[in-house]
Amino acid sequence: MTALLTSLALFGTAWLAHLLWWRIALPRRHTAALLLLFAIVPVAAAVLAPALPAAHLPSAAEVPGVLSLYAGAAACYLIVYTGIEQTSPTLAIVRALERAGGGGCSQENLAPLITEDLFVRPRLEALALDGLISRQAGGWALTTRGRRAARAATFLAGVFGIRENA
Amino acid sequence: MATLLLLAPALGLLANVVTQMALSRLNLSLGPVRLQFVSFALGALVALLLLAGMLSEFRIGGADKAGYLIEHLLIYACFGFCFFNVISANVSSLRVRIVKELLAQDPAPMADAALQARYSAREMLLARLARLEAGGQIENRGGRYYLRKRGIAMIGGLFDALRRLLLKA
Repeated sequence: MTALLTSLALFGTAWLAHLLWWRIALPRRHTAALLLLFAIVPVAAAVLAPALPAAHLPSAAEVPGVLSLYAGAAACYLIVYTGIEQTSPTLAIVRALERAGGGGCSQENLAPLITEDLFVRPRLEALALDGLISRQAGGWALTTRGRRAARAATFLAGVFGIRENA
Repeated sequence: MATLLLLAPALGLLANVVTQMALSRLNLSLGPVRLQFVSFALGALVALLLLAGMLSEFRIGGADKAGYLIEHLLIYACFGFCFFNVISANVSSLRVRIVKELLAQDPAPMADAALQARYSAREMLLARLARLEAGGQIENRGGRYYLRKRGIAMIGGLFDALRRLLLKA
């Protein structure tokens, strides 16, 4: 049980630190800041561990499991955070339908929820901020990093037979 | 010994990935989300069976066995969720679609007008409505859309709450 509780405690500590940081001063690059925070917390825990009673610490054989769960939870949170940082069109539609209740919504009712200003432009800006695309004369183009990401996505689509319908 | 337990979520994830690859080629009538649920569930079953088998050999108390079981099922669930989203992003993420489109004409840049034409708000709306209908989350009656399943709305509510808490938005 110690290993499970240690993983949960590590993730809980990281999340509280994230909440405090964001409430005090929102970072410009959210994803990079979260990655830094999630990396620092287990390192800080390793430094502080000798000061804690051994009975409260996981054994050496349990550490890989602790770090695996922590890393998995952190990865999940990073994915979830993209939906927090930028509203998903799908969730915006669903929330509107929930509010409409028995009256439902027509396509015209839902159209104002999905506009270029609300969805396309922020995503272009996010891609640029993350260094995947850049503004050039003539429009937007991939950076070297963006090319790698695009090739990885294309490869996955081929392997898993994915047909997109964004 | 505890380290060996990591084999269970690892093999469960492998089963998940292989099942997803196999099912995606069978041209089944399942939508992409349901297909992913099937592969996730199969992977979870593999992980659970392996964990049960390995833990039965451990000479430890029931509470510790329960702790290891939960911990390693959560490890599977976390990485399974990540895999689920990697596939979903390829299906529906606008950002992924944009970078793939830019790759198709790389290194030539894409003008704003061309981007606007390809990613029109109306097409995005229709695509998402079609996907939600196919997944059974909403239904179309007489040209109006209605929510069928509350689960996804609850997720939306949770996201809104976290946005207010973290981003004060």
